[in-house]
Amino acid sequence: MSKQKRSLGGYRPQEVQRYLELLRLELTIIKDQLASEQAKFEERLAARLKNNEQIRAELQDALAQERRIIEDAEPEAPNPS
Amino acid sequence: MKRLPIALLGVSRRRANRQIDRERALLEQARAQLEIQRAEHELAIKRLDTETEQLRSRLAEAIVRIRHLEAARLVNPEQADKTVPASDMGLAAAAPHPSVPLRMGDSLVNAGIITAAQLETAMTAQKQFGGRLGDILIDMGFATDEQVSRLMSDQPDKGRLGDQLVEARLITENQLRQALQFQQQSGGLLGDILLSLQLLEPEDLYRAIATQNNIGRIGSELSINTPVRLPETLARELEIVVIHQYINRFLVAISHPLSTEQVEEVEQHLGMPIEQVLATKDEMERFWRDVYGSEMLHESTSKLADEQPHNSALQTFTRMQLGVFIAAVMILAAGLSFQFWATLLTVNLIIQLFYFVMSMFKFTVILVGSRRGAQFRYTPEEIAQIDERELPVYTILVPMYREAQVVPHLLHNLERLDYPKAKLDVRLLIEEDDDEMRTLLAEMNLPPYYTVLIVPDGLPKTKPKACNYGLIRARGEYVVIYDAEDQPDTDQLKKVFLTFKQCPEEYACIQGKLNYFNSDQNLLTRWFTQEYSMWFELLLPGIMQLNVPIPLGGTSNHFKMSVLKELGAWDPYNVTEDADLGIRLYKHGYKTAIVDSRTWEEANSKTGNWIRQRSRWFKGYMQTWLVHMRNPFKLIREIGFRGFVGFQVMILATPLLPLLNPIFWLMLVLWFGFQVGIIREFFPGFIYYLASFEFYVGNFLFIFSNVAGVYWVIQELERRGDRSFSYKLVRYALPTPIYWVLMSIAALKAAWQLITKPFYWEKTEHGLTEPPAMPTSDSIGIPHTVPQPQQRGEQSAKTASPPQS
Amino acid sequence: MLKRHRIALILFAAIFFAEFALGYYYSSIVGYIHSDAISRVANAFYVLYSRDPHLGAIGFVWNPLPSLVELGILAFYPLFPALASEGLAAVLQSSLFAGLSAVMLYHAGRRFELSAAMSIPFALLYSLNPFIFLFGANGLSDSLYVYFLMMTVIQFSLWLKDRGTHSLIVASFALALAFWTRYEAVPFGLSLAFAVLIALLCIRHAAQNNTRPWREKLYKVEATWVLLLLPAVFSGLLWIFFNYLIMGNPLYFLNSEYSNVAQSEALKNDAAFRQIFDSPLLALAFVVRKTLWFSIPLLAILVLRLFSRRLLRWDTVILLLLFAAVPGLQYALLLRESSFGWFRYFMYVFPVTVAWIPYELSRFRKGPRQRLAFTAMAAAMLGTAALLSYAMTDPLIAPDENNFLKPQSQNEHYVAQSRERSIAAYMDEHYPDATVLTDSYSAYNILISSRYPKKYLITSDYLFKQALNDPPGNNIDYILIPKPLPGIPKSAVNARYPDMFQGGIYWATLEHDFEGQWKLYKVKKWQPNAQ
Repeated sequence: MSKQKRSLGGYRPQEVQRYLELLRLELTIIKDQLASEQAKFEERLAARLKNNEQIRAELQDALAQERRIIEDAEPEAPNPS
Repeated sequence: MKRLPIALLGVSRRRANRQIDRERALLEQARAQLEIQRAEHELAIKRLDTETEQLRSRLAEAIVRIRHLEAARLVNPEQADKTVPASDMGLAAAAPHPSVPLRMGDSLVNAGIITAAQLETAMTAQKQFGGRLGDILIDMGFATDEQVSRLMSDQPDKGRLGDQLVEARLITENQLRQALQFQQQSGGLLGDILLSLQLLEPEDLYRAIATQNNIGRIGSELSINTPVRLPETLARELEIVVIHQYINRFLVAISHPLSTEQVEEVEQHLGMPIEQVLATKDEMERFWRDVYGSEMLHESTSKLADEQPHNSALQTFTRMQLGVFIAAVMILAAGLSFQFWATLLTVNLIIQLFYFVMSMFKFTVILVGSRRGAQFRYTPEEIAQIDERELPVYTILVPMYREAQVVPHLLHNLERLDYPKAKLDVRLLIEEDDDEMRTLLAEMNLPPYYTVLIVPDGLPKTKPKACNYGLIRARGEYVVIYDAEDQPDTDQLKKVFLTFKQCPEEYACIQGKLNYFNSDQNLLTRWFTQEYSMWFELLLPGIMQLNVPIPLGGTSNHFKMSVLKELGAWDPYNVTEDADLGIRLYKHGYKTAIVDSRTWEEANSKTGNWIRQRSRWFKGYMQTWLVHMRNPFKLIREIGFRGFVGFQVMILATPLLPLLNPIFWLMLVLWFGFQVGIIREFFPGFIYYLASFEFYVGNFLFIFSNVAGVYWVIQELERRGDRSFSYKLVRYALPTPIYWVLMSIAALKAAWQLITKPFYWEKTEHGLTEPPAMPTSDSIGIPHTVPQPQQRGEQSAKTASPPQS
Repeated sequence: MLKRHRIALILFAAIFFAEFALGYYYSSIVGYIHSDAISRVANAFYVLYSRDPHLGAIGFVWNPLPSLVELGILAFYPLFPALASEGLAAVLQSSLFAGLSAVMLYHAGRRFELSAAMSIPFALLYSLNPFIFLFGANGLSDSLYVYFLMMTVIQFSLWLKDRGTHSLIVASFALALAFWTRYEAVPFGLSLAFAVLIALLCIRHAAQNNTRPWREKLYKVEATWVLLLLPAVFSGLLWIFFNYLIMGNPLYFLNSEYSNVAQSEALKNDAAFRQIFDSPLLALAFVVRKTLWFSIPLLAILVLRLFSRRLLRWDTVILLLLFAAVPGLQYALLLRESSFGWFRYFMYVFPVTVAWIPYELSRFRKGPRQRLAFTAMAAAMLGTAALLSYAMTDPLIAPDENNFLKPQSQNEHYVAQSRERSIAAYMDEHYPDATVLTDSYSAYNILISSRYPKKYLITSDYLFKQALNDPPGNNIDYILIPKPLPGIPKSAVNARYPDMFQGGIYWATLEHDFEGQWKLYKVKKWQPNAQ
């Protein structure tokens, strides 16, 4: 910074330096957040997917059960056609 | 924006700022990325949540069914059968019309593939969200694809739509014949014709079309359960909206069945199969509003400002303009303090030359405009010869705000238009906070080619914004704007069609002529009528002939839809968006023509109201001028020197002359009235002759052109056997200078508003023609009084042109 | 289209150059120009080149348009002094409008759907009529006036035929411009007003809704009046206003010492005129006799109408009204004892009738009938040409016009003009730097012939009144006055000092006597006692 060109009505070098550091700090924070949110999201997604798979399986079971019952009952059902 | 303290001999500011800006841009980028990621995450989670919810409810339903089955089997196996006839009845009630679901569901049950309870579950889902029963059954896992498609192939051929409707007893043979005859004559889709003849309800028609195309209809549940949506551009291109998420597919509402490639494209976007359900136009509008409302609002308010910021009035003054303005004021001040008289004289000379050029140009324009060929004219025979099958779909936009009292009138006027109704796309644009209009229109049984659009709230709340909003989904090849109280001549749309056909390709806009139906109400309306007569009968046709930019008049401008959209439509931040659009059309090399067809409007009959309206116009012209004069050299390049001069005369002189006039009137009074000697000093030699010429000849020419203009209109009308106007009107052109005083008042108000609140829309009251029926106060809250149709009828019979007979 | 323009251009060029050649011959080679023509040039000249150049110097007696036109031409005076000194500006003006008139007649023929084979001879038959031709060359304002007059008639007849508003607008401006040229436009406007009344109330026309109630028809008459007459009426009011503003007397042009009324005072002493003034019947006979010279085309039209059974149509009345405006005014003026009844004042009925002919011919079915009618009209125009040629040779009938034909030594105007030119030369030679007070009303010839016009202090100069009342006190070196003649209004100097020409005055000495017609007095440099 000290090598920077000087001008008559300029900024104080240390002020500029500090401000830039501030900006960079904020950038790192956001990048961290991006990563952490992504991770958290993947976690949540996995949980939900797993949950859904589970329910889906349950549903399949239930439908299969239903079918079984129907097919069991079928021979007894009167069929007008 | 953080301000860093400034120190002596510090770091170069420019460099430091550049560095800071770079860092800041990176930061912004990261922030945006975060936003996007968050949105993506949320969507994915929501989508899964919806899926979970769906699965849960399916599971619950399945469990209930199983429990029932088991209970039935345990208690009495016989009883299980009783559900069959019961559900049979339910089926009949649920899908009374097309025989397909009944038969298919029935035969599936009969074939023992599904149970009656399963069928009912599927039927409920269908009723709620729509779609085809077979697909739902497959989706719910009750049946397999082959089982269903085997049955489907058994279905009889669907046949033509008309026959199908007759078969379903929705229309009679006679009605079909009538509609077909209509189609033969005017072209268009049979469905639209049936609707326009009001022979059946849109819902029934669309169900039949859906059946014909082997797709489903939309269900009764119109709320959307999924956060998933297609990108707006794709959605608009294909006219589809995702409305429901099933476990393994999306339900999309469509206006037309999609092709296989289109389906693939959509499925690729959504990552799941889709099922198409047909929606009526009204339903589609609702979905669009729900799903893409904010995009549409954004488009209607910001499109122009985003895409062509240089053409948008969002910013009233640019920094450069302010700079030039301040510099001008400073130079003037300096001049006045050092060379008082010389400066004043120079300024006066410039103003006088300006006046002179403007007056001469305007008068030339009027002379040119008085030639017969200046407007496109058509005889009734030519109109009768039009093959209606060639007519394209025509969109009519009617922006309205708190004008409930003129709605019956509006409907009456639009119904009178001589154009195949099946090819009309009337879009009534209502503001969201206008409850009165909303209720009124909801209660009315509007013909099916009307669409009521509720423009979402948001600033700026202007007419152009509403129009942009209405334009987004408009279907027409041509589009026109009418105000709610307008009475267009019945042949206007056809005349415009002929004009477009006759003109070269670059003609993108046809302006109808505006005039007033209440001209004889009082002196103000008479003057107003005269002014309009001159403007639309002589000035605009003249301008068209000279090929300089035309400031369009507020309504009855007909556009080619494609061009209008290409230009970014209206500028919502400009309060005379029409004038501005005329300039932009010209900039893009498009031309405007005037057609000899009138639209009758209501002239402002109260001075206060009139001044408000006029000040808005003046303000808009100033805005328009400022927008296009951001870079005068560029403007000259874009519209040529002649266009540039025309632009100054039409856009700058119109508000500026009334602003300057009072100064000179004052001098005139001081000079002739009190012989104040100092006035003489302002007008030495040459300036004196110039100013005198303008005073004597210029003023006279303006009065005379009013006389000529109004005479012209009356004569033209008389020639056609129309006696809307009395020749009595001509004599009132003589005291027009009083009208000019009113204009100056309005111009002063406009200049003040341009600085204080540039986008504020000075609303003008309408419906002030019938003093007894209408509230006369200027209050905004007009009581909900719909005038008696008879009264209106009398009014229009008296003032409007008689229908052709 | 192109061809039509080319024909028009050729027609214009031919007439214009022929007229200008004749005019040039008279004013430059022969050296005679009508005094009214030269005085209009002088008025324009004062505006630009007098001591105090200002537009007001154009004068407020005669309608200013001819001088305004010449004003534009006189801008080139520094390059071509002959424009003023020999009155060529006036010649240019009159030949220009003669050319334009020919083109206008040709266009009118085409507008009324006559063939080119009719329109061209028609225009030529008018323009080459010796009498009309002379007026295109002599620099008088008649050429200009006739141009606007015919334009009014053509446009009005177009309106009668088509009822197009455009024609009314053009007619109204033409009428106003005619007014700015000659006061004779006033009665013509009156005739037009009646013609409108007849056209709207009595003639049926497809463009007119005849089921309208009477009140509405009257409104239409009113509206048409407003449209057609507004420019002319406004011009009249403006003229009065200017007279008030600059001359302090709104009716200055009517009743000042230079006006027509004042000039015709002289007539009261003329025995022949006295007789006419005293008897309305004699006056009528006088007017009819003079009018008849120009009336063959009108009679021809009436005969044609008689044979085609259209004599009793309302548009016959309109034609007669327009025709009668000219002699009507002269008759009224004679009754008021204020017209010279010059032969040329009656000529306007001829262009009015000619301008009506295209309309008249358009009433005939195209083909042999129309050709026959055209032949009849052409014959009538030829007849008029012959008749007027004869009239011009007789100084008793057309004294003004005859001046051009007779040997110039017998022409008193020519003699006066050459005298005044030599006075100007003399003054330039002997007193190039002196300040000379003179009345521009009588000295115009001297003024425009002078190479140093600014040395003259003339009527329109700001100092004139003050200087006139006290020449020695206002640095006046000389005073130039004409011999006061009976019957001609006195110049301002002679009016202020009636005995000066004859007897001199105590504060001035006679410097030079120009053949007893003009005298130059040298002003003594001391304050005069109060008179």
